Amino acid sequence: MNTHWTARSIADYRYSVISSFLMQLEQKMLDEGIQRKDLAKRLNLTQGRVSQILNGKLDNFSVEKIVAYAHGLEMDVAIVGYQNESSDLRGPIHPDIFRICWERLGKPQDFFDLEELDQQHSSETNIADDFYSQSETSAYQVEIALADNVRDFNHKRQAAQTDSASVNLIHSQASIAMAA
Amino acid sequence: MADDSVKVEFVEGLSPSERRAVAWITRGDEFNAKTIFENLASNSEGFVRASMDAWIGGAPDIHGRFHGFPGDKTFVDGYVFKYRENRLENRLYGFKMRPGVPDGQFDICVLAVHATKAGKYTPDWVKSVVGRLRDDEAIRRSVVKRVAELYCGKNKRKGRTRK
Repeated sequence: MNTHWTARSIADYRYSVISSFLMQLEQKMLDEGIQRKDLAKRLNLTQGRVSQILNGKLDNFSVEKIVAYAHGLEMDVAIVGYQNESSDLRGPIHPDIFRICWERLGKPQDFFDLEELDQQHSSETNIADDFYSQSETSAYQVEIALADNVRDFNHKRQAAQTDSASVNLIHSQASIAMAA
Repeated sequence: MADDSVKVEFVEGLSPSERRAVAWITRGDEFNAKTIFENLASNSEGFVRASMDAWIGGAPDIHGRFHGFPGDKTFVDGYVFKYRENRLENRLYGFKMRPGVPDGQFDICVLAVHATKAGKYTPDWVKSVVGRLRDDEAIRRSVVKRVAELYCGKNKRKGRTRK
């Protein structure tokens, strides 16, 4: 089998997606010390039913139930579509990757928040470019600016689709300035 | 010398990665994890595969699904993937090792033994069998050889390129 197991059928793909989602719930339960019986109580289900789901009996696990389980742990749900060229080879991306990226971006709530992030990023890039272009800049100042800006870029560049070339530019400009 | 009676096979169909892989180890009929896995019902197979994918992708241990034994000095490199089937707690046990190829950061989880678990603790016989495998230099060399063949040879596995 050269392709990922989820490429065998829609059923396998579905299973993987739901199973990864349930891992998120299990991790949250572990982190917060929530027992299966606690979740069952919140969902008005038997502990046995909750255990069946968490143990992977997912035949009738609908989107409604996904939402209910998430809400039972005070979590929200989004169904995320994306394009991944290597999907047949590696299967769906774990949902925690999307969650962590979203949190690192400051939890943007809508497209306007994303627009602001883009603008913020763009202005930071300009400030950084001006800053580094000053030949008399001290190495110490460069170091501070590099830390501030690169840290922010690292957090934002993926979702904001930062041109990686501009990050490299800052690195190389900083190196030049440091050397000078 | 590697132990030629031992067969090391990567679990097929998982996410390729340049950081981690999961493999079966077999020697005749001696180790049953691979056979048991290949005959699992689809829900259980998917459950284990999803767990393996998560581990390969670097997810932290989820105790209900897969974990190591860092607190157990006798089984410190031991590793387990879990599933429940027919009201039984099933386990696929093995050990983690760092083969040194393709680089010093690559980890492989080598699974050997299936067991059902009744009590709270991992059965001693499992620890004993897995521990012997883990400490057997010829077996470790077999693992290294297989990883090198797949990750460093002509038919190099195409994993995700690390940035």
